[in-house]
Amino acid sequence: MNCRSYQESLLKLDLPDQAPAELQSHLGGCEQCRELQRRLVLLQNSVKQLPLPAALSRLEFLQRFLSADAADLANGTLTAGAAEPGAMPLPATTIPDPARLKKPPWNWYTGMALAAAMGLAVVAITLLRHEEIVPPVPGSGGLNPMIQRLVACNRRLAHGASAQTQVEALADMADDLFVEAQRHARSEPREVKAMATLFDQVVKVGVLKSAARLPPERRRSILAPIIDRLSRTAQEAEAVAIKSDSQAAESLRRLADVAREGVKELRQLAGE
Amino acid sequence: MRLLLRTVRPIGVLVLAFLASVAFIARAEAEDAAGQIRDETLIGALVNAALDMAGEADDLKRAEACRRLVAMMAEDLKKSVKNGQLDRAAALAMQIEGLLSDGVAANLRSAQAAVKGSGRQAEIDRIAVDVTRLSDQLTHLADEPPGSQSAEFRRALEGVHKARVAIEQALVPR
Repeated sequence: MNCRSYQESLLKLDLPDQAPAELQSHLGGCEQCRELQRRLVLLQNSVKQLPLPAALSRLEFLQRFLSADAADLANGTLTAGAAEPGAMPLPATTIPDPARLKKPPWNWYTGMALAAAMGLAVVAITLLRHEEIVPPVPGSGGLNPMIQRLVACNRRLAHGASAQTQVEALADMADDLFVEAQRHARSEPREVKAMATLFDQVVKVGVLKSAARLPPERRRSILAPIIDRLSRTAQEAEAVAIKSDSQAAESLRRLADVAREGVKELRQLAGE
Repeated sequence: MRLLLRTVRPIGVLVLAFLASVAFIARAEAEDAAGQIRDETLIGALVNAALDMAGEADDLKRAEACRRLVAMMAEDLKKSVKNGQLDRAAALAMQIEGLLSDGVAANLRSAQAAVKGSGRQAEIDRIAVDVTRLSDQLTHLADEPPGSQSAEFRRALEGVHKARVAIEQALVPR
């Protein structure tokens, strides 16, 4: 046997000071193993000196346990009673009971999450909703005012109107179409194109043909203000076209060309 | 597990809020686009009707042009009611009333006065029946929600009903 085997035998002994003969003879010649035995004996003696709770019968222990309150259990006074000497109190609870742990403020977390959600929604709206560059139609009551004006034009024409009323109503209609084209110039080239096409029809098919039905002697007085308006429309359409994107600009320039052609034809009809 | 759930919950709220806002924006944009298309359709129809009527000497043809306009606007009105756009529906009803009175009733009245020997009574009756039936469909919209919930819309439909009465009276021989 070597020292390691003797030390294991020593550790297994209930009473290390009462080693068997073989182990005793080894201890006599081995300083290291003798030191281990000395420490084990010292430990054994120390344990004997520890204060012990007064012994309780099982029945007595149960009675005390059942009648004890939480403070007694925590202080370790259950087994021996507060007045009994030698009672060893239980160590103070250094690790808190999970149930006593401070709960995380989930309500705050949820509130913060909601606030962040609202912030995110604002960001999403800002990012996804393109800039409103089509000016809103004022006081429309849910209906584009241009539609109301066009209905009014139709009502004027529905009566079997005179040539003067016809040409004036259709010139008003051309003005409205230009205003609508202008309103969409920055964002809706498709709308601008549609309005320019309608403007073309109104001027060429409507205004010029109605103007031709006017009595020659009254043409100049009736057509002069219409010529002025169409000239202004041509200029404004060119000006708006400069600020618009290429597709809308093309439609607006076409509209301006139509207005200029209209002015030219009307001047001829008016004898200017 | 509970910790996981508690961590996931705020993230879920964030994701849902984001998706809801995206859906809200997409829907608003779709409604805007649909409204714009409807406006454009009406504008085109109104311009064409005006061009048709401008040089037209025939009362019945002008009445027919107005009838077509009324039919188109009535469709838009029904869609507006269905979408809960009662402001638009009320505004359209007022415009329809004007077209029925000045466009249809007035032209039918003059056509009816000149009908003897023209053989156009059937044409007059067809236009009259068509617009009165359309008017009845519209006025019924005031009897049930959501139309019944707007006083302005109900008043506008009363105007349509008055115009319908005027059309009936236009057909009475004098």
